[in-house]
Amino acid sequence: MKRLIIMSVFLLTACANTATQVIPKWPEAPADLQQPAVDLTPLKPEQRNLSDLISNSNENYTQYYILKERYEGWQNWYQSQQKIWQGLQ
Amino acid sequence: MFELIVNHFLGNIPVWVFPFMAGIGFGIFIIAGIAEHIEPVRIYALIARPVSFIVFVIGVFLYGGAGVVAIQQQALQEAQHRTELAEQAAADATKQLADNLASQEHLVKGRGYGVGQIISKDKTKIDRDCARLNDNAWEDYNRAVANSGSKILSPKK
Repeated sequence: MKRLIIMSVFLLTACANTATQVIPKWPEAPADLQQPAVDLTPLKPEQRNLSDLISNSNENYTQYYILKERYEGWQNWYQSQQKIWQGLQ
Repeated sequence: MFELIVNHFLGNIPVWVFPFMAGIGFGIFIIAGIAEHIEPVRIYALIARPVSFIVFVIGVFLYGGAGVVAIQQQALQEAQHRTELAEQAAADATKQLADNLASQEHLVKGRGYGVGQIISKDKTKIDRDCARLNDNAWEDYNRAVANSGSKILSPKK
């Protein structure tokens, strides 16, 4: 009986779980999303007309819309990647 | 160390050897049990019996281990396949997003340029009806642009 118990314990060690994990490669975000945000452009000292102000506002608003696209891009990228990696688990 | 030795055996010896080894061990164990009662071979049987038992146990052990290794390898291959598919899907999603983003940025810049052209065209009309921006308006505007409460620029400089 003692021999049987020892033998069983020895045999069961072969079933020890030594499974290797597969680590997926973390995806690289699009290059556009990784660019630093630029500062808004102030009026230059010589720019004193209303048209200068409107022109400058247009430039800054354009910059805002570009950054808005990138911000939404980050959100979309994160959501799509999260969906894919959750499917792996 | 023990795991290394076992893995070495499991990785380098064909699987059929292990049940064969267990069978031989078991066979010799039974024969040795009978031979113990035969006086001329008793001494050999006494030695062969524990040895054959150990051979039997090692054979069963390695055969079981080979089965576990085969199951793990299959699970590993499935996980690798799933990971490859996920990596490809992630790369495709990233590429699609990058293309979409580039297209949207191009559109935004294009619209900004279009508005700039309209402003240039209307420049004379805009400036005709409006006085020159005074220093306070200029400063306050730049303060808003810089998101700063302090006086950071002066149009007089």
